[in-house]
Amino acid sequence: MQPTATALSSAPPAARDSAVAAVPWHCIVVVIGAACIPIGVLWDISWHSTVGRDTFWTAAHIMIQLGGIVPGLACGWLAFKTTFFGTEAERAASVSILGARAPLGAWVTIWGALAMVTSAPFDDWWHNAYGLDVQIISPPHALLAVGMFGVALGCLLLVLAWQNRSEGAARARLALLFTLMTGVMITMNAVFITEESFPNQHRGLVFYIAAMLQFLPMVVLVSRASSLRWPATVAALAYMGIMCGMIWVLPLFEATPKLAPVYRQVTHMVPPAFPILLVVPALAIDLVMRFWPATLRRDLSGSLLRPFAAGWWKEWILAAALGAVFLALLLTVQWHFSAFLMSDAADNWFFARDGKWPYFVPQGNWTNEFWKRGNVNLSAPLLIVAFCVSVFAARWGLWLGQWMLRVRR
Amino acid sequence: MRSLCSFAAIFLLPIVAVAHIGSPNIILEGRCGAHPVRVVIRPPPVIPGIAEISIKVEGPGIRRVTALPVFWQTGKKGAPPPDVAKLIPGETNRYSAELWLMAPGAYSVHVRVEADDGAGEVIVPVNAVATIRRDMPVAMGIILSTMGILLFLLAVRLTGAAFSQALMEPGASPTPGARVAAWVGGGLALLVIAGGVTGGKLWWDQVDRDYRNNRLYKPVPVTADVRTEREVDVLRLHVDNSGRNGRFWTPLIPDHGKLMHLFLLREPEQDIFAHLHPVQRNSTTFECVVPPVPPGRYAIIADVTHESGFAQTLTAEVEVKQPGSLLAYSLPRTNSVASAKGTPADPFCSTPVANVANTNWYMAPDPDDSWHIGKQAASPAAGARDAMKSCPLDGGFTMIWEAGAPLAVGREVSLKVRVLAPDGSPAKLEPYIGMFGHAAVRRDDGKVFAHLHPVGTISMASQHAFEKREQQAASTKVAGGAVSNTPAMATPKPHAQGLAESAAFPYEFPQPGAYRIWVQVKVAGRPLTGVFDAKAW
Repeated sequence: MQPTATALSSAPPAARDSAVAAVPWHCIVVVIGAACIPIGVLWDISWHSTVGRDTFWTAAHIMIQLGGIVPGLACGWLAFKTTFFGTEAERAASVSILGARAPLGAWVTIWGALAMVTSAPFDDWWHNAYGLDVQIISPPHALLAVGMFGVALGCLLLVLAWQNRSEGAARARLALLFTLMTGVMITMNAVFITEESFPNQHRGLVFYIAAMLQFLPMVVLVSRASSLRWPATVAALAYMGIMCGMIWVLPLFEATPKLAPVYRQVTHMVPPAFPILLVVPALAIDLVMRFWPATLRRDLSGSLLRPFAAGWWKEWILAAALGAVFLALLLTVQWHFSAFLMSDAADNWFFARDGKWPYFVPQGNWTNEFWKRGNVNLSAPLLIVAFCVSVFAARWGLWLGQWMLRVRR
Repeated sequence: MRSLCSFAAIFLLPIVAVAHIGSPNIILEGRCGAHPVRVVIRPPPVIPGIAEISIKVEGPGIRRVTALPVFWQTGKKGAPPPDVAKLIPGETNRYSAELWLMAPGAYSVHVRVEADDGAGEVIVPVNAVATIRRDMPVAMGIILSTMGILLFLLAVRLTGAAFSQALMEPGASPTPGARVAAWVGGGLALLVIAGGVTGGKLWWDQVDRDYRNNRLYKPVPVTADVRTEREVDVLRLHVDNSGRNGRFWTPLIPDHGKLMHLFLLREPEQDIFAHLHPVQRNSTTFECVVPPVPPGRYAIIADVTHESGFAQTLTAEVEVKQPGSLLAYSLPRTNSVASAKGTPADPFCSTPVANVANTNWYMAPDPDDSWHIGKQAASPAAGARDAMKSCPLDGGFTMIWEAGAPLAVGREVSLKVRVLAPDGSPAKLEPYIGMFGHAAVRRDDGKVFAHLHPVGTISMASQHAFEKREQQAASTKVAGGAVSNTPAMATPKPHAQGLAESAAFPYEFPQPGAYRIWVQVKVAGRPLTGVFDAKAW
């Protein structure tokens, strides 16, 4: 059985007259640039957890800014070139906004970069009004996060459009780039729910709801829209690879706190918590997508904006299956893996049990216990709630994947 | 954007009381080893935030000056390495650094001077609390609003394009269906983004509400009344520690032997001044005998220091309806003649006499209570420079304020006073409540108040609480086998000893305006209060 993306892309040659044979330079640049965002954010969180004291010009901040500036400038150049000096094919494969032309992904990237730029003075004022970085998630940080998400989504769409117009080896390379970019976005989503996803919270409802909303749509959409054979698995591995890379590299650098109160004598850069084992449910998603019975597959050429078009229920059946599989595997794996992550066996450089706690976190047994406060313990009725959320999340991912299959510009 | 509905210039709520009112900057004069130092700390208005510290060090051979903020709960063991203060360009002995204050509460800033003749350290207590709520500047509001509208419209347009142009094969022209999809997609995006913006606004409001209700420091509310208890007029203060106030009301420690230093000021004339020391009846109630002051409405300003080292100033108002029953047990006036209106025309300083203890009174006044009646205007001292002001005191004494240069807002000044005996000879100052002088500075509208000592604006109780805590921690370390490298603290002694020629109060006027300054000293065994008016520019 063929991946759906490939099936849809094998359209008549007339529809692929602008197919390209090579991966364009700007696709590589924007993906590398966008990858700077989650890496910079993880680095910045580590900096705040280790040193505490920062300025606008710390290396981590610069990396985040590069994550907005590099793709933003590359896409700005692409828009300028397409508008004023573009070839007929380039202009044909672009979207017009107020007369200016660029691929949709470039416009979204520019939008994201503008949002990131806007968040900077807003955040500066916020610090003056309410204090320096009291919370990870604040309105200006949310605007920054939306901007980062916009940049990443734009890069994803830019690569996606090229993938959908390409064939052969170039298509395979672009599919890999698209899938890796999805992994970058999954990492960003994982960072966004950091405060809800410590291993101590993996036996509570909040974590599973957060994971369902942040991860499930991503693995489902990439599984549908990418031309790779195992896209969700590769994207999950990319996410886990970035996280593990940060866990293993950051503690190699010595650093000490420069802010009081210091509750832990930190001596090296603090790594993030070990990632969830997303690869397991992601592999299952790929398997379900690959081996889903043809009789239950909906014709994906129908209207995107007509939710009850013919065969609509088939997508919901598929979403229910994907949601159930994802929830069951995530719950099974993390229920036990989180206990391991808090055991003595995980107190090492590889899993960073104790190493991940910032200098400002008081010591105590609570760091290696499942938290009760602010956490809703899972029960049968709540599992039904979690399942319902998973079905809607999967359906959302399927719809996004269906839309992505059609993006041509 | 929020700024659309609040196009106001930066609006600062009145700076509230945190150990003084409207006077957040901290000044300390002390010694680090052999070197006299003057430390000025300007705390940030929000926490977490960055404080500025300026350290002036006297004497040669200075090698290094460091500053270390220590949070009260974690002590020095929970502090990062100290910051090295840098010599300010153009200065020869003034150093500066930044202090990062991350948690709300009491901090002790350890200033250490390393010199050729050894090292010394002094502790400066700092209250780290949010004291203001800012609104967004108009210009920034316009810029952010413009960007917000641009981003909003662009997002709607791009979403529309995502359902139409982006899905068309390259080169294809938009079909009617694509145009409809663009409108539908854009419309949906408009709804979703508008919902997001509304949610963001609600979120912002919630953060702001939480800041105002929970993080912004507000003085603990206090109510006061005067009642007659078994023939004694008693001033009673009740602290409201309900709700969030409870977080700011923890056990107290004595400052110079008194749990509370209370100032009573008649409003609006500010012609009556009393410095009282209520006793604590229970955790939230304080009582003292009402001094024999004329009837009127009085402002109450009370300084307390908590065990954590956090010092705060409580405020209330009270109506006094009759002269207090203490009149018969006070030092008699020595040179005053009552005016026809019942208010003395010349200054009158008094204090309880010892035989109060031999009565059947419900409670005894504190022997260190003192009060001052009279609105004498300080005038240029006879035969002295214009810059000097003299104030007649009770008993024929005269207080001279060597005012010096004009009082500039935000600049360190030293309010130096001395006292002349009736024969014009210099009078010796004796320790009064542990110090050679106490000063109270208040702006005419009451929005600025500070209680000063010759060591500066700090709470000395707080300073000693920190010092003791660190010494205990160091001795525990030493007992545990570790080596203590804490240098000897060189903070001022808790109680002044001997006699002094003059008293100087370091201060920095925080805002312009007309100020009244009460200076209390003890001469010939009795407290005397000099009153001066001054303008800060």
